[in-house]
Amino acid sequence: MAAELKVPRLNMDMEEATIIRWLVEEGDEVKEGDPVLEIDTDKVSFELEAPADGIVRNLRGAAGDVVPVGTTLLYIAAPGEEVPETGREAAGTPAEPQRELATSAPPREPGTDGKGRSPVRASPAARRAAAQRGLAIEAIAGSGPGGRVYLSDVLEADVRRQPREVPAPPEGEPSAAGALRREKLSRIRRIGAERTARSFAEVPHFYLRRELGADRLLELRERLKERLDPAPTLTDLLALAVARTLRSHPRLNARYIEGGEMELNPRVNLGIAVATEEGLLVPVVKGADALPLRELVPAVRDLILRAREGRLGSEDLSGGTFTLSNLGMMEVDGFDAIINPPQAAILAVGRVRTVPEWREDEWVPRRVISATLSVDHRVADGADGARFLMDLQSVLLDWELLL
Amino acid sequence: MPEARVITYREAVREAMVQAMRHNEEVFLMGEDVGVYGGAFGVSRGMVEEFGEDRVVDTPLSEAGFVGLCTGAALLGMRPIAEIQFSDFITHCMDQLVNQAAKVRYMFGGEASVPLVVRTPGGAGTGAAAQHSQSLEAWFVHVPGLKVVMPSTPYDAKGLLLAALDDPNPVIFYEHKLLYNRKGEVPEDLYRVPLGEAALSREGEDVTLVAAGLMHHYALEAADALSGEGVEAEVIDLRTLSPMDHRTVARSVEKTGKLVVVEEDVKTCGWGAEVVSRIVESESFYALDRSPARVAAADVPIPYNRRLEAYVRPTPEKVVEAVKALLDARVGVYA
Repeated sequence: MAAELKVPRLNMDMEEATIIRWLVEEGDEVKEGDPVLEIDTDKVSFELEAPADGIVRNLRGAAGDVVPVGTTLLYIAAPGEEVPETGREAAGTPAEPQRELATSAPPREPGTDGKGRSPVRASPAARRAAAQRGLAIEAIAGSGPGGRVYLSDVLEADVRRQPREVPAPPEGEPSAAGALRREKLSRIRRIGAERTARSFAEVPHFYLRRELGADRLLELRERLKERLDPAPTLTDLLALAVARTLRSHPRLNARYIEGGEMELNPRVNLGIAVATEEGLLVPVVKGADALPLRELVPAVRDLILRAREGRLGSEDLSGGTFTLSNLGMMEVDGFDAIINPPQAAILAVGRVRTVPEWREDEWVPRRVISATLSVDHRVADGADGARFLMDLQSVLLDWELLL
Repeated sequence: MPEARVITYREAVREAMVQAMRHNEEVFLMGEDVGVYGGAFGVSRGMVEEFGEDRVVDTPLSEAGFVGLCTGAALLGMRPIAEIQFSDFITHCMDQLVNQAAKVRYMFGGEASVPLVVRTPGGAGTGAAAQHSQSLEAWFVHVPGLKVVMPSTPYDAKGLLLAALDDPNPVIFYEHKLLYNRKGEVPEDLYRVPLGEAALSREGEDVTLVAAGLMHHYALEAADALSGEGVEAEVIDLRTLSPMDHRTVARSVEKTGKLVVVEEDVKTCGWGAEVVSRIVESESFYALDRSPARVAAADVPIPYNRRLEAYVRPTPEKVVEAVKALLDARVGVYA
């Protein structure tokens, strides 16, 4: 790595120095300690020595120039080694632009981390290593939070540029291990990407969050486990409660029509979010509010199974009026979901947690589920959503209300 | 080195005092219940029987009084050892230590010196509550003229105490209640461990753990746990907090690029901040590949409740977590 010689601060008051004369020229070979130039301060003249063995490179400044303390005067490099530019007066041909050399990753906007923020966040070790190797820190893809550049990223970028003769990997193919690679999204993910982006940008979302007491829900599932085959899952029971509760909350089972109208659906077609290898799918249980539990459970099961096997038809995926998304089995405490257009709302539920509740004069354990209702504000207001959640809670606490 | 003999930290401290007193008539011990009772933690047990009440002196409950007395005796050429029963009580003799003992040599242009050793057990973890559990060592690190020693092993306890007794300056010698029963190899001869030199107790490439006293053992435990997960920590036992051995820390940080300090005092203005600052201010800053971190006690009085006490103190697990947090480049990033 190239060693740098800067104008030293020789006393407390010194701010600049005058170059008296150079004792070496660009390309000279020097040994550490060899005198390379004389400088003059207002107090004393001084001989500066080569900081290392090697070749004098990018020598800057001529006799008589006044240079501030800290200015780089030259680099001492190994033969053929790349050396950072010293500045506008760099001797010889201007240093090659370094950025293109730095990495095979697509270049970012200079001085940003690719997300419009600047300047680059990099560890001191990364900056030092990049400077020593003549790499532009802003051209290195950082692996840390927010694109922060660590030493390992610089070393990788350096390794990547070394074997220049190796042809670049063909586009779309995975390149060297650890390098950035591109791959095509699955069809499902591509559609999902467009739809969620449009929904999130166009639908005015608001979110209502509350905990739903789940003791009775869990008891019910335990009891029904013995009685029903297939045994209902928490998702099944929640689907039933949600579908039945939606009957009396038509605004949440509606869709907005441009121009100031909304369409209210007489039936509840409940979408169930299903994670699959190919991406998120939302098959729909048609008329879910009218199905008895013994029919709802196998219907949901069948849809989930076919979603995972990629055997859903377009009729299974269309016509939904409300969506239920449960990530509780993956230990998520709670989350806010993006509305599945043209629906007006989506209920996101997290895992069952046990929390203490103050009941009269003692703490008692109570099992709860965090739920977030995301609502399209064009068709429903906060109070509409809140009332729906209150009614849903009533059903979860007292299933006989469904009779 | 002579054949390995294993004794406790308590016995190592006692042996250093006994050997120094046999060797040098000017050495004496003074403190609350250090005589017949043998000290609140039994460190001086048996000493009054050997040396008599003139050299192992029980005092009233007056730290200001007997530390002042020891300071005066030191000025006149004696080599006093004052034992403060719990390091929390050192507050009573702050003026003697900070305004007198620490200043005399400087203010008399080197014509006088105060070869005083103040031994005192610090630290929490014993359920002794807020007034008997503090780690106030950073206060003394902040006072030029005082040296602060905090050994973690029986070997260092003996060697550093003997070195402290040789030193012409006042030395605050921090023991830890939870270290007294810890065993280790200690030679029988009179040896010194030089003040101001840290020890590299474990080599590693990935992260530097800097600790002292009991926390050094926590750091080693954490290093073992991390090793099981493929992270090799280098562990430095500072041994002396003042003067602080920056070079040993810097050399290690230059190698690993990552620094975690493990200290038992509260985090705010603890001595760990000094370790970090010296790295950040120096050329070694450019070797840092992660923000330095401190594992320290929470900024609260030590609670009496056992669970709360454990909650606020550093633990080996917290050290492991801190190192993982430091190394994990992808916190908060969706993969």
